[in-house]
Amino acid sequence: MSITNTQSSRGPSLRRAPRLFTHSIRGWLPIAPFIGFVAVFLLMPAVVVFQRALGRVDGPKAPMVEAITGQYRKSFIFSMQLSAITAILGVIIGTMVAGSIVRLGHRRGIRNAFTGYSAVAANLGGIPLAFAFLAALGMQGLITKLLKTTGVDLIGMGFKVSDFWGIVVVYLYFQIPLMTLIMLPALDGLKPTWREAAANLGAGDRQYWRFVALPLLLPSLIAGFLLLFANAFSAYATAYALSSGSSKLVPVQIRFFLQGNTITGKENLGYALAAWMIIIMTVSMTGFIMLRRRAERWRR
Amino acid sequence: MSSELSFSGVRKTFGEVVALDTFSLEIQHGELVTLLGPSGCGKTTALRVAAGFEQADSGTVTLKGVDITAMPPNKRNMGMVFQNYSLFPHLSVSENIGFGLKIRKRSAEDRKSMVNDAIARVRLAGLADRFPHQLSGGQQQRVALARALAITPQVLLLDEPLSALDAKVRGELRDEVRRVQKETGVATLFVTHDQDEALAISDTICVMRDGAIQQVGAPRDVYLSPATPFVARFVGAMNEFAGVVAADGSLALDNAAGSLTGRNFGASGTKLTLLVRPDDVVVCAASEPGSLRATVNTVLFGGSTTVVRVTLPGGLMVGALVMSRDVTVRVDDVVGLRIDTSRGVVAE
Amino acid sequence: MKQRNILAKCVLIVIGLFYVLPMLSMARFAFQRVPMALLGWDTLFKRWTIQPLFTMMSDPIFRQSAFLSLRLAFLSALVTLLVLVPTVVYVHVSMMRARPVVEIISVLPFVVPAIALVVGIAGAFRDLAPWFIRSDYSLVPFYVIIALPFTFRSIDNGLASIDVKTLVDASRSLGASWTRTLWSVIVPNIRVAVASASFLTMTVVLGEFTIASLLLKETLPLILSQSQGREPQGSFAVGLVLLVITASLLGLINRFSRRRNMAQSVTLL
Repeated sequence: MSITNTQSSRGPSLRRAPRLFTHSIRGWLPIAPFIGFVAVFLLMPAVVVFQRALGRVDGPKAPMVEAITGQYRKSFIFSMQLSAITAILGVIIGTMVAGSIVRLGHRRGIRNAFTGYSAVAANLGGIPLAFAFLAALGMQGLITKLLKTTGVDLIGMGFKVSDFWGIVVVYLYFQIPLMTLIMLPALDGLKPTWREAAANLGAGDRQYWRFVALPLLLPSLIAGFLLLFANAFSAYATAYALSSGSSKLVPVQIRFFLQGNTITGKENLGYALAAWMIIIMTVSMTGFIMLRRRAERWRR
Repeated sequence: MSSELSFSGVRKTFGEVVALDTFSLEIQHGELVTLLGPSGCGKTTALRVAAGFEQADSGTVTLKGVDITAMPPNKRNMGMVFQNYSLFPHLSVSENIGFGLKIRKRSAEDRKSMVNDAIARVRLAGLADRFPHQLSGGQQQRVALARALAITPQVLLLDEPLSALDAKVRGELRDEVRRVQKETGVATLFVTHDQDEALAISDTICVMRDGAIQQVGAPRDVYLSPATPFVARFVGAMNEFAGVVAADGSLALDNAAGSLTGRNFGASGTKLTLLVRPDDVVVCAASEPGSLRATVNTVLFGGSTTVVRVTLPGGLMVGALVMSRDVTVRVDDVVGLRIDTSRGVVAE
Repeated sequence: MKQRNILAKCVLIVIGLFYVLPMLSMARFAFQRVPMALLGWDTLFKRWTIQPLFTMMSDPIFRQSAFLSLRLAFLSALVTLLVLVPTVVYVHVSMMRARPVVEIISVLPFVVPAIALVVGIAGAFRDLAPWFIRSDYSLVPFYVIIALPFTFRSIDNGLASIDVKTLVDASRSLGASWTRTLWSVIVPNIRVAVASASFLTMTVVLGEFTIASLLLKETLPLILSQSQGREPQGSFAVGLVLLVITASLLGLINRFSRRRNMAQSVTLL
């Protein structure tokens, strides 16, 4: 690079234009392997998904359209309902947990313990988590039995870990800590000076929350909702393990197509389902990132 | 004349620590009183008690004759400028300034004109729609000042508002604060640990230490006639001459550095230290009678004035403040020192 | 004020129970040879044994899957470092303006959930290079991709917290080559970030189920799921051990980064 510099300072200005251009391209070269890696192993499969989903149309409807009609429509609604509910519950409970941690924050131990465990639990999923809840709330579950001794008969009430509300409870195991981790820095970022300034200017408790605290927390709350929604929507392993592969959720339904249990001529439907998943995830994650940026801007 | 704000015997402890000990002070309308002292001296506590963020354990705080000791902070109608900005980050400059007015349910038109007046007063025209993170430190503090004044408070409270700023900005803003304060005529309580600031802008300085008041007076008096050794040392620089009182009342300096005369220092044999300002130390010829012998150690040019540091026999370092154009000595010269002992403060 | 404190304590106690009880249930199921019907206060502490774990660990199918997963974990960590470290170092040293681009690229995996990714993988590679996905090791690059958002953040933070440009300038001015500089100067100073990135990749691999199951690779999580029927206690026992290992790895990351004062987050937050 230093050679480029000295040469461009000696040569006539006419030569400078192409040199700058090559300099700029050359700058990106070392990053090419990285970009190539991601392109081959992430972008290419994603492109193929859309290619096949938007590809040839067998049958009366285009795959992308058929993927959201009929039984698949029900699956999408089911998935989105599940994701939305676990997201809302996760937002509410997670914020309460974060708020409680902040309130009791003078005891370093509590905060570290919960933050540490939340970091682990937020990444938990898949098989071990499903096992844990089967052991806890399944037919032969420990908690099931415990609750029975106190008069609450879960089985009698028709509760099943593999049903909607069962999955909600299981998903909350990683949704709540995820939201806690989002809200902790957000709540920390509510500087006490703002509260004092607001009081000094005449605001009572309610006005402080309405005009200062809530507006400041709102981006994080919405961002949290979107992240939790995306998180629940894309979860596969846990749902699969709980329902032994027979769930109505979209991710599990996609599996059928991959294993070849399809009516011939409809393989593209699997791709269409996957394509719709990617679209929904893109929308959620874009919203999440944009809102995080705004929240972070205020937290300098 | 009844005061605008007054503290009467206020006492505040935090657990074992006594932050304020029978603190009594009066601030008049239009007056700028500075609480000056090192960290931990109680100045910020006093301010916060005035604002209502701390509750006094005993004593009273009165605003225009009304006892506000137990009044919650949002009812006191005081404006406060915090050390670290504290502008609401999600609101623009005009929304920040208009916040107090909005709480008081002023109409949108009223708010608009009052906010514009405030912006003009702190000279921030054109920045009304900016957000705090787009402003520099100095600009943010101006907004904070405008916000505090927009509600036409009865008292203005400033908690080390300049400490977080760069030196140059600090100077500009210091003058700005004083100008605005004089224009509006609001009684102001200013807290700082920076004595230059205090000397420059105050009508009255209240020097504090460990929760108690050491001296209250005009800047000039505090500087030229410090009431206690602490005040003398804290405000301005001080030379320290330690020694033992001789039989004739003069002070025999330690290490046989010489004798200080011109004043009766009291009972013979007493150990004491005389604090003398560099302004009151004159460098003269070594041969001059009655002067202390010293060797020039460093000559620190500081613009219009120069500090000449000399070493006395035995190692004591003394600084003398000299007008730069009168400096004739150089390092390692042997010179004489004439001390104006009558202007010194005796310390133990 | 006091009531709010009590409420806060209650919330934390309830949530704490919610977090702990499933784990306890899992442990009880795995390690206690008392069927649920017979479980009572009198039998609560009887017949606890680690045997199911050993039974499972001696099962050849299980061992094979465990070793496979371990191999995949190490390889994925290695590939992650090989792909990330030179790239991110280069960005920090020479081309900071590329950083936002690289950052966005690193977040892309979030947008393509594992299930959709594996659909695309099957479609893309089955026709183009079937030999590739026939191998078990084809999982490695995809695991690297899945872990990318977290591992990039880790390395990026690590480099941001040391003044790379100055270190590189100093090293180069003293005569070191680029490779020498990278190996002897930069990497030792981002040890914590490198360790974090490696551990993160490994936890991802040890827990990843979706891609492995759909590409029919017999990794540990897959075998675990399949063994549920025939070896219930054993599979639960291993599941619990897996959780403990994952938690420990993440805990170590937290401990190391806190000591180095790095803003390390294990969840991209």
